[in-house]
Amino acid sequence: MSTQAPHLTAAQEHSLRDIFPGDSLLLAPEQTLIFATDAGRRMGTPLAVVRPRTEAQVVELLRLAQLEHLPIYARGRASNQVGACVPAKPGIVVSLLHMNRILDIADDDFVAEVEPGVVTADLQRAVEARGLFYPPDPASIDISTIGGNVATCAGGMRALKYGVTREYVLGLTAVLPGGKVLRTGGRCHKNVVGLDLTRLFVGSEGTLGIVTRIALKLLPLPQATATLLAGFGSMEAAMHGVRRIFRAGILPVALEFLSPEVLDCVARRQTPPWPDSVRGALLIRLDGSRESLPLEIRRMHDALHTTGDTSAGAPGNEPPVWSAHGVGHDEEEPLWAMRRGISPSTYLVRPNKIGEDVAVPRGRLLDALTGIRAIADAHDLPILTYGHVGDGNIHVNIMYDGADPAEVTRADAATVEVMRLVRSMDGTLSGEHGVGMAKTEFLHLQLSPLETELMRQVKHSFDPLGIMNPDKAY
Amino acid sequence: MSTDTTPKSTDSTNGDTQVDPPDQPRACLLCGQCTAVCPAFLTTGQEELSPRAKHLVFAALRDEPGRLGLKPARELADRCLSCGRCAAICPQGLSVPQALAALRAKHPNWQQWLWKQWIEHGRLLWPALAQMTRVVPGAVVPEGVQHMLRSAAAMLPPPPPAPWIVADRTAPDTLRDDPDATQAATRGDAARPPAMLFAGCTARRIRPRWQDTARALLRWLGHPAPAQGNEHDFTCCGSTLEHAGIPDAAATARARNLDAWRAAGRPLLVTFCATCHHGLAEYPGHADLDWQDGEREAWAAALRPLSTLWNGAVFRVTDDAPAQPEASAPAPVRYHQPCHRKGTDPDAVWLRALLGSRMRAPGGVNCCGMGGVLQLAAPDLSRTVADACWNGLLPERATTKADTTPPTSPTPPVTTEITVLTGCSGCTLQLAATAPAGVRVFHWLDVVGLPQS
Repeated sequence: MSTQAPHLTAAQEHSLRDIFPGDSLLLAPEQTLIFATDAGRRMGTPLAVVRPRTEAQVVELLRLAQLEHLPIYARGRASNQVGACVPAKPGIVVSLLHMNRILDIADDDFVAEVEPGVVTADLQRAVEARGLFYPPDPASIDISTIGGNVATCAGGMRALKYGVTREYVLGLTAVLPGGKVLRTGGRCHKNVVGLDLTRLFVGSEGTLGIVTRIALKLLPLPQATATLLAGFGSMEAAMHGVRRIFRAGILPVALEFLSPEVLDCVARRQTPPWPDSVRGALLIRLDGSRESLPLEIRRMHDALHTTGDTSAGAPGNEPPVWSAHGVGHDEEEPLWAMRRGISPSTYLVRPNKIGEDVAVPRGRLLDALTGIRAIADAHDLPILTYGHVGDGNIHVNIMYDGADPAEVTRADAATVEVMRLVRSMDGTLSGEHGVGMAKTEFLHLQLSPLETELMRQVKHSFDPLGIMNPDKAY
Repeated sequence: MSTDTTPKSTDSTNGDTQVDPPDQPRACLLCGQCTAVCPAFLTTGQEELSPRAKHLVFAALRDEPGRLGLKPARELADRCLSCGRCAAICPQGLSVPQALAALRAKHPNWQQWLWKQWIEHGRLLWPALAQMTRVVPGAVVPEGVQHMLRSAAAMLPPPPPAPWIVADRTAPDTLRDDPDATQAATRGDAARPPAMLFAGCTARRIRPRWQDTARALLRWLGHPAPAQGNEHDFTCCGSTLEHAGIPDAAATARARNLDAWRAAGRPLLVTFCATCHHGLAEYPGHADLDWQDGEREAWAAALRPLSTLWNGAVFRVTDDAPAQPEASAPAPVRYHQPCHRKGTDPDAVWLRALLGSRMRAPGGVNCCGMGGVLQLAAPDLSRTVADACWNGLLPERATTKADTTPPTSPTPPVTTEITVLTGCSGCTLQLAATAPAGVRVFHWLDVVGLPQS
C-alpha cells in the first residue's frame, strides 16, 4: 500500500469528529489497518473508520459523504472472501458492529427486527429459545453479521430446503447517499406492491446504501434433526445417490458432498470413521418431529440403496459402501465436525488457494465435477471440490504454492477454465460468496451488456455519484 | 501476512498431544474465526482489538518498518487478555499472546518491569499492596492504581466458608472404579501412583489453604508424595512471565519445574489452577527445555487436573446436614469457566454432576478480564471485560448487551446472595475484585472439606 495515500481535509476530519465523538472515529494508521482488508486479503486505503450507534449518525455521514464525494464502505465482521469490504478507492469505512441490537422478536408475526451488526448465530439462539427459527446458516454463522448476510445474500447448508437470506428479508431501512432514509417492505410475509426494493438490497454488496434496520421472516423451529453420512465407492456413485434422493421425493435440509480428494484431506487431520473403500461421501441432514425422523432416515437409506438394474443404468450407479447416522445434536455433531474440518485441512495440501463457489443446474453436477477434475489433471494441481451439492453449489478450492511462480500461473489458468466450464453449463460464477473485487474480471462471462447497463442505471438511481462501495459487484 | 512460530499447545485435557515444529512459519489468513472468541473484541465491538487486526499490525511492524508507529502499535497490541482463545480457534494456530510476548521482550518498559516485580517478588509485594488498600484513601488514588488496589484487596483471604462439598467417608470403596486404582490393584499395589502438587504462585503466596486442601485430598485419595523430590522446588509456571515479555525468566522457571519433576521420579503432576495447567501443558512445545527421549509424552501424560483424579461419587453436598446449617450449600451457584480451560473443563463436569440444577454456567465467551499484564497496561479494558463477564454470570442484572456496549455505571448489587465458583487462581482473584455486592467468589477448593477422622 502506498504511503502517499490521500488524506481527509481538515474540514472533513472536523465534520466527522462532530458526528462521531471519541473512539467512534478512528484516524490513526495502527487502528485503521485492519479496516483496509477482509477475509479476501486484498488491501485498500481507509481514510477514516467510523462506528455509528444510531441511524441519525449514518444520515449525517452520508450527507457529508455525498457533499464531499467520499467513498463509503460498510462493514460488519468482514468475513467475506471477495474483497467486498475493501476500501479499494480511499474512503471511509463504516463499522456497523455497534449497531447490534435485536430490536424485536414478534412471536405472533413470526418476524425479528434487528440492527445490521447482530451476529447471525446470536439471532438464531435468541429466536430458537422461543421456539422460532431463522434458517440461513452460512459457514461463517458464528462470526458474520445479519447486515453482512443481507449485503451478500448469504446462503448456507440449509439453503436446500429453506432458501437463502433473500427469502427471509421482509423489510428494511436503508440510508442513501445524501442522507435520505428509505423504509421499504415491512412485516408482511407476502407483499407484491411495487417493485421489490427490499430484495434489491439483498446481495447488493453495499453499493446502494447503508442498511440500518432489517425485518426478517421466522419459521416455527423444527422439533429435531437427524444426519446420515453415506460413503460411496466413487464420486460418480455419490452423484447418483443425490439423484436417487430427490427422485424418491425427499427434500433434505442439507445435502453436502465430499470428493475423494477432500476425504483424503480430512483424513490427514483426523482419523476418519469411514473405510478406505469410501471415495466420495454425502452428508445429509433431515428435520421434523422426533417420532418421524427415524422413519425418514430409513426412507433415505432405502432411496440410497435402491439402485435398480445397475447393469442397464449409468456407470457408477451403486449404493453406498458404508454409512453412519445420528439423531439429535449429540449424535449428529461428530458427523458435522468432519464437514467443518474441511476448510482448515485444505492448507495441508498446498499453502495457498483460490476458493471459488460456482453453482450449476442440479442435473449437471456430475458433468461439472468431472470437468473440474480434468482441469486439475491438465494443470497438475490439486483442486478440492465439496459443498452444497443439493442446490448445485460447489466449493472449488484450487490449491497452489504461492512461492512457486509456475504454480501461480497454472492456478490462474485453471481458475479461468473452471469459470468457462461452469458457464458452458449455464451455471453461475458465484452461488453465495458474491463478486466483490474478486470476480469482476469474469463478469462478462455471465452478464450481458444490457444486464450490466441496467444494473448501473439502478445503482445511479440510488447513488448518482458512485460513492457506495465503488467499482464492486457489477 | 503475519507469521508465527508458536509451538502448539499440548494440553492433555484436550487429548491433543501433537507437537508442531516450533520453527514452522504460519500466515494469518484474516478468516476472522478469532472474532468469535476474543473477549477484548467482543466486549468492545472494536475490530482493531481483534486478534486478526493485531496479527496484521505485527506483520506491518515486521515487513514494513516505519509504516506504523511503534508506540501506538504496541499500545493497541497490549490490549490483549492473554486468554489464548484465539490460538485455540485459529486454523493456523496463531497466538496473539505469544506474538505479543515476543514484541514485549524486544521492547521492555516499566509495565513489564513492574509485573516482573509483582510476580518474582510477590511474597513481599502482594501483602504490601493488600495492606495499602486499608490505609490509602481511595479519593487520592488515580483510577488505574485504584483498580490494582481493588485487586490487591481481593488477595486478602476472605473468611473461610464452612465446607459444603465434603469428601465422603466411603470414598476408598469407590477407588475400585478408578482406572489408576484398578491398575494398582492388578499390580498388587495398595496405593495409587505418587503425585506432586503444582500449586502455583497465588496458592503458595496468598492462598495456602487451597494448597493444604489439595494436598490433603491427594493423601486421602491414596496418592503418596514421591519418595524423593520436593514440591517447594517448583516455581512460577512461566506463562505469565512469558506473556509479559520476560522470556528469559520464563525459560528459567520452566527448566526449574522440569528439573523438580524429574528429580521426583516423574510422578503425576497435579494442578488445580487452569492457567498453571495451561502453562505447564505448553512445556512439550518448548525446544529450550532439555527433554530426554520420551519425556515430553511422559510430561503430557503425568499432567492432571486434580478434579480428574476422582469420580462424582466421592463427594457429597452437605445441605442435608441440618446439624450444621452454616455448612449448607448456597442455593444459587454459578460457575465461571476459565479461558485457559479449553475444551472440556473437568472442574465444571464434576461440579455439575455434584450440584445438578442448582449450579448454572453461562455459555459463550466469558472472560474474567484478569489478563495478566493487561492489569497494568489497560485497566479500563480489564474492567470492561469483567463487567461483561458479570453480565453473563448474573443474567438477572444484565441490562445491556454484553457483545458491544461497555457498561458505564458501577456494577449494581444483586438481591440474593450468589456464590461463584471457579477453578483458576487468577480468575478467583479478578472475580473477587470486581464482584458486585451480594456475590461471594471462591475457588472450589475453598468449599471442599475432608472427613474429620
